[in-house]
Amino acid sequence: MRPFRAEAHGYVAELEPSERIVLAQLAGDVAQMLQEGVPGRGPGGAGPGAGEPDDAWSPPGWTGPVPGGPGGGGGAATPPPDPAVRRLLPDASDDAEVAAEFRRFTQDDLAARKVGRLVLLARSLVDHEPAGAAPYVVGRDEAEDVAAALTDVRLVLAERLGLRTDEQVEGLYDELDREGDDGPDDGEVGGAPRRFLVSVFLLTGLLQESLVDGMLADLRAGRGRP
Amino acid sequence: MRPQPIFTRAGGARASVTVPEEATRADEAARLDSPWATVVWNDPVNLMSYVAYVFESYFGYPAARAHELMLQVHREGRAVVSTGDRERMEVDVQAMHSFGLWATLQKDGEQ
Repeated sequence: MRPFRAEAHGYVAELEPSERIVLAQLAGDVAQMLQEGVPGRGPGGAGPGAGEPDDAWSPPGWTGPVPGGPGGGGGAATPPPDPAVRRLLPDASDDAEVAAEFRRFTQDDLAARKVGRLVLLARSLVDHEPAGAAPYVVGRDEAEDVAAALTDVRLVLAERLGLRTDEQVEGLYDELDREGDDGPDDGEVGGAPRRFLVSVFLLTGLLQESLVDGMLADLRAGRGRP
Repeated sequence: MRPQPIFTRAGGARASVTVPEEATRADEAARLDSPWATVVWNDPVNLMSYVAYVFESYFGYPAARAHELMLQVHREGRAVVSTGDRERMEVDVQAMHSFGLWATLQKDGEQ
């Protein structure tokens, strides 16, 4: 992988075929999670509180509605049961009623928009199925959608990896360097699957950072806004 | 000339029309009552540059102000990034969620 660089026709990175396939698969998985994991949109919308108590990440200082607590009162307003999906569609208020009303009016649109961007990302990665390392071009008019889709992928990976603090995220390179270390023994993904997800998380971070650096430079120079 | 309400509602009083005293008071009460805020919360995943990009591109903040707000989110755990009436703040919160930032609606004056 070579990170993105701003060029005349867009932002250009270079990806190996295996990297394209992994990223496309992951973007597709997150899209599917959103399609199936939002109550009222598909199967599996059991609603919160139906399963085990979860310890989903929430911002330090957050005292929002307790998952499974009151504030539902209507199918479409129910928070997604999967903490990773809920991270993509978070509570919009610490007031349960305000949060539920917000979900009722925005959740389906927001989920659909995220799915659209993730599918765009997945398709753009495997469009021409290059046989070797090849340029991956993101046009300026689609860069914001790609950056946001990468964010959603990273948020889901972080939730699955149990990353809760800046320190844990900063320690990921060291974690990869430590041979045979299975990571925190706290019931999250461990072993080889964890090392794989960590390396994908770091890869998407590098891609996003280089893409956003280019977008910021263009924005400040007055270029690149649709 | 009577002070005009900041937020006029469709079908509401117009400045050129003489409004009953009670209506004016109600408008002022609504105005004092209406400011809400959009609060963005820190998270360990979103890149500082991405947060700055969102604040610059979506809100149109100058680079220095966007940077300052981003640092406030990062260091203090959250920051108020916009204020206004509730409907406007709902639009902003939804936009932040679309970008992948955790944002909440807050009635101005709440901690």
